[in-house]
Amino acid sequence: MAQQEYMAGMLRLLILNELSRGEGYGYGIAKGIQERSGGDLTVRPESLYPVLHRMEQEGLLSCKWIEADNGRPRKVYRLTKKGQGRWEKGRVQFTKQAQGALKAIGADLEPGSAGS
Amino acid sequence: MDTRFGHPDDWGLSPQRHSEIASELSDHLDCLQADEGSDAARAAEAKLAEPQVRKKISSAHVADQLTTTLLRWPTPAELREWMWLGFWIVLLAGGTAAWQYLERTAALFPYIPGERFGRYFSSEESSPIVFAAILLAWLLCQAGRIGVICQLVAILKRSSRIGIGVMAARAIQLSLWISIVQAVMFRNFLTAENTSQLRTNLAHQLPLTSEFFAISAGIVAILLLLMNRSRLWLVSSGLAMFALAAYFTGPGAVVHFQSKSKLSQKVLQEILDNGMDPQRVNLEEGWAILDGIASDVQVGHSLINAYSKKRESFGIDKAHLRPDMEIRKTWLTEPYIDVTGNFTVLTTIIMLLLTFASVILHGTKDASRSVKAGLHKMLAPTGAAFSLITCLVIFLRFPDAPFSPWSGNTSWTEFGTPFQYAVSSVLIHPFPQLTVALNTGSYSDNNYAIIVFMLVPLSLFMLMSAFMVDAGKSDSDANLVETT
Repeated sequence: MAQQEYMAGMLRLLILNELSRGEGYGYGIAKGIQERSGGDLTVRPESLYPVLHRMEQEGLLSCKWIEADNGRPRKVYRLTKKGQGRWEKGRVQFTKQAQGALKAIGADLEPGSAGS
Repeated sequence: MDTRFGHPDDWGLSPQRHSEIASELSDHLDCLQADEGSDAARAAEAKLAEPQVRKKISSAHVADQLTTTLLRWPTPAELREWMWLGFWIVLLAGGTAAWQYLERTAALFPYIPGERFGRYFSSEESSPIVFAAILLAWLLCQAGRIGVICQLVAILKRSSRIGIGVMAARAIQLSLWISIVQAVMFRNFLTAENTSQLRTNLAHQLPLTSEFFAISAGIVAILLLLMNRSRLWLVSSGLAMFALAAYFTGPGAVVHFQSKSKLSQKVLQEILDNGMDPQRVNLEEGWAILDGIASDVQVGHSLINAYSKKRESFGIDKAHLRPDMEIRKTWLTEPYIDVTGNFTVLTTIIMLLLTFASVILHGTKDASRSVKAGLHKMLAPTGAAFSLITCLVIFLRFPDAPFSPWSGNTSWTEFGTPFQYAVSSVLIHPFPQLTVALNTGSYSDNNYAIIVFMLVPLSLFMLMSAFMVDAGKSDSDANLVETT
């Protein structure tokens, strides 16, 4: 349960992180998370969209519909002021917690050293 | 509209919300196809057609599901469900009516096992044919009751597969309709003045349906929440639910007989030890006083009449006709405070109407938060009031409750536990005991009421909590990010 909550919180943070770089749409956000994690993390649509919709309901994100290159409608999200605040606070908190946890299990922050 | 994502009813969503989600998912699949090819897109599309995946995606729109399901016309599948439910309710009502009618016409008055004045109630043995007919009617009644419960569970289970909002809406619809049917038809209409004993008995039997619904709905809600978590929980909850259903619908009788006497327990015990019937002692004394009122009535018949009426709370205590009787009477069966059904029905209707109204008033725009806030506001005072009234009613109704105003000059006579009755009904006096068992609905009223009082509010809270937990917490956000 603790791990699930951790993962749920992490996805929200990853979404906030993606949108802190500018507005984005569902697939783009998922792709961005995958690329930025070096392919270590993937987000399924059934996981991504409910969280995006909840964050929108909570006022962390705002959205608008635009027309994509293929002529289809596309829902684009951006951070609200509240979402920006949550991102800044969450980023500091998460980094501190992650560093603390890594220290606690004796791993350092260098990539590839987690398992050593 | 993109047809790849089915009909709005498949998601339980409004057409507008469904259209938005379908457009968003279409865009996702298009991008995936452009990036990774059509095979990946097809695999993702197949995945998105799975009901559990749709349920997960729509989990952020519980309020929309709730509003849409409450306001739209039933789908053909839902109409079929309503028809089946109607059939089972008719079977339950018809079976109950036939059972009660046959019992009355066969003069099979309840024979209470082990009690000494049972002879006043029945001196006749019924014929095997009549008994078989009564048994058949009782079986029909029980089949109807089991059918109703199974149908309710099936409806909730089916709707829960679409989404928690749809399930909550169906629960509200069902509870509201059953309460209205019960309140309008069986409680007010059938218990109007000058109605027959048959009708009052029928009215006493039928509230079980809605009370059962409330209990079942709560348990089903918990089951659904636990379903994906622990098999042990699921099995144990299922067993608990089965035990509840078996206990309440199965044969068995508990008779609590509340009596008020000027005679002390010690004197009563002496009378009993001397082999005298305290009821006759009291009756004779009371009868001497009552002779002006009912001199032309046979003793036995009168007792049956007064006894049975008082037990069902629809009769008038003869003492009320003579104010001086209040101080002269030596033995009086307290009439029931008949609030069980009305209390349950009224509170259920109020709660459901408030929920219904809050959903409609808040509409779909930002409804999730509004409904949650509304439910919070409504639940706290309603829950507190419900609990207080429950305690008060139990306190007033059951004299052996601590600090009850009735204690002191009231003695309780308990004729048996459910277990004793179950055993004795099979092993000791099969025939008369089975007759008692057939009267379960009437004579387990007291114990049943306590359990109902406790379980109904509890189950309503469970149901509402289940709904709110799912709507409010990002429960289904779990396991969101895959590590590769």
